[in-house]
Amino acid sequence: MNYDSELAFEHYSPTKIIYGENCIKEIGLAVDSLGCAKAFIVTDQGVRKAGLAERVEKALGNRYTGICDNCPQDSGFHIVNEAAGIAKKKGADILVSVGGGSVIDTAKAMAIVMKEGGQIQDYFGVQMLSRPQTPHIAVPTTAGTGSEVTWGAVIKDWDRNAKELFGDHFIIPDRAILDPTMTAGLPPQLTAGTGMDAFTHAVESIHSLERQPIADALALHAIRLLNRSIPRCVEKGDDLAARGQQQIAATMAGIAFSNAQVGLVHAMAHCVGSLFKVPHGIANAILLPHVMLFNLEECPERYAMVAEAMGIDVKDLPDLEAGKKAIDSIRDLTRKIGLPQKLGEVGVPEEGLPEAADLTMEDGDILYNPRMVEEPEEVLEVYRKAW
Amino acid sequence: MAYTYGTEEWEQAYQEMVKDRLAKAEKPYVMGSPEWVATYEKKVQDDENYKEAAKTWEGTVVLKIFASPEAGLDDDLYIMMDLWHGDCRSIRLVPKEAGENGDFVLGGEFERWKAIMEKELDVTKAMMQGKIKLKGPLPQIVRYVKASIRLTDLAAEIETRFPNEMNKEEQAEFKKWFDDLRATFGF
Repeated sequence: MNYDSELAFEHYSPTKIIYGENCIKEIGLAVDSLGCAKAFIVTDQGVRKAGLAERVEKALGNRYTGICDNCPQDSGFHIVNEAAGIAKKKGADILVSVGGGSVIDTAKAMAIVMKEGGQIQDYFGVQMLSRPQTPHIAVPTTAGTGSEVTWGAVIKDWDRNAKELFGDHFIIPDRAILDPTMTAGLPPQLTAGTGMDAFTHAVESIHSLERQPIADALALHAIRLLNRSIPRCVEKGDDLAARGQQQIAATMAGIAFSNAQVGLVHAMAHCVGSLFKVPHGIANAILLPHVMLFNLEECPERYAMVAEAMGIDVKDLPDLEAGKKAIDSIRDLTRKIGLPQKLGEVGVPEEGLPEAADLTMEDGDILYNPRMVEEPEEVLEVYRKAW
Repeated sequence: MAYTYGTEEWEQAYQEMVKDRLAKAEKPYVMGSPEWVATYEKKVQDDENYKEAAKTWEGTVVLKIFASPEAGLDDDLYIMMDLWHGDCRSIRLVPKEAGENGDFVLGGEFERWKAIMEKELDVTKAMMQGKIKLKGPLPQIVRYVKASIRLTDLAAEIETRFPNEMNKEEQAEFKKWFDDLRATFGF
């Protein structure tokens, strides 16, 4: 728990968060407060069919100027470029993303193209931008990714079948509108998966090499809220108080990991997602206990903090034992909310594990894992245990 | 006489200039000066650990030092490292047009580079924190993190003087000489 004299960090969290049941009605005022007048909605077909985009459109009133509703699960360069072109042509001066992580990431990337010109491919890299981008209000309709408050956008190059990271503090959304009524219709499996994505963000920001007290505080409280709210939301999806808590916790975990980063769980989950289409939250949920076991001896005091936040009595336990209890408790949680326990259950072929291990070595998140990973064989061993 | 970058004449004149500087310049060398760059080149070329860690690396890496007029640097400075399969084929000061077209361009204020060379700042983490800007795909850098660390360690081994450590007279003299050099070689 103690931080030593070498502690040094920067914490940056510029997003104004607006929370409350039906607070989506305030989106027009949020647009005005940013000095904008013409809002362009970015969303997907599912959100549109659920009537959520229409609610936003209505709340925007005459500020609404157009919509792109064809964001797929893995948004692509061509979608970003095309949608940015349409938004520009319509004279939009602000983007409103309504959806999950992929939709919000698409809008972050569009914000770059609309401000800087050219194509999104021209902005490959990390922290390359030098000025604020097109204003962006994010309205998450899932409660997990935290993308509404983070500096990264993952966009797929469909031609090369590769996911690329665009990371920059200038693409963090200006506003995040957290309205639990926008997530009320989320089915149980998606609620559980996205919830465990948020839970993993929290745990990984706590064990990250870049951990820091402010992020720790956010992550620990996120764990407290998620531990109670995910099972409730899965069981009773129309409990708006629980929905709200999961949503707030996901945003808190998002701020935590946007500052402290994530580690090996995410590096591995990105790879099984990219190679075998395993939904990100489910991959995280399966891999989290295995990676924690892999890391346990490097940071037992960190996992003891997780155990305590999960409500386990660790008062007289050594950190190592407390850490093991946290791992067991996470397994219990994922069973309780009905998530798969093994990679083999979600379509990952055993013979595909070496390729996944090799690819994991190229993921930036691996740099922040508390236990240094030097060879793909170490990752393969974790994959095998999780398979 | 001004030389055109990319020609044999430029390369020949650059090498002669470096030879002359290595013979005449006083140590410690100023960061980013031709003699500093040449010393770095030699270190990378001779380093077995780097060769092993980068044995499959392909691509040029450019270190871009942002302009800092108060430190006597009126324009951005580009140091291009031509690296291929563990070999360091060359490290040169290059013109902006060439530098910006490197496969990977790592840019930052010279204070950031100083912190990296003094091992107070980890280069890969600095990228994630926005202290160093990366143009180019991050995964390849991550894959070769050991090589990146080795390159940083080698730079840190050079006894270096930083422009802001000079007094005003020294800085003015260095600036005049360096501006002439930039006009001659276009970097």
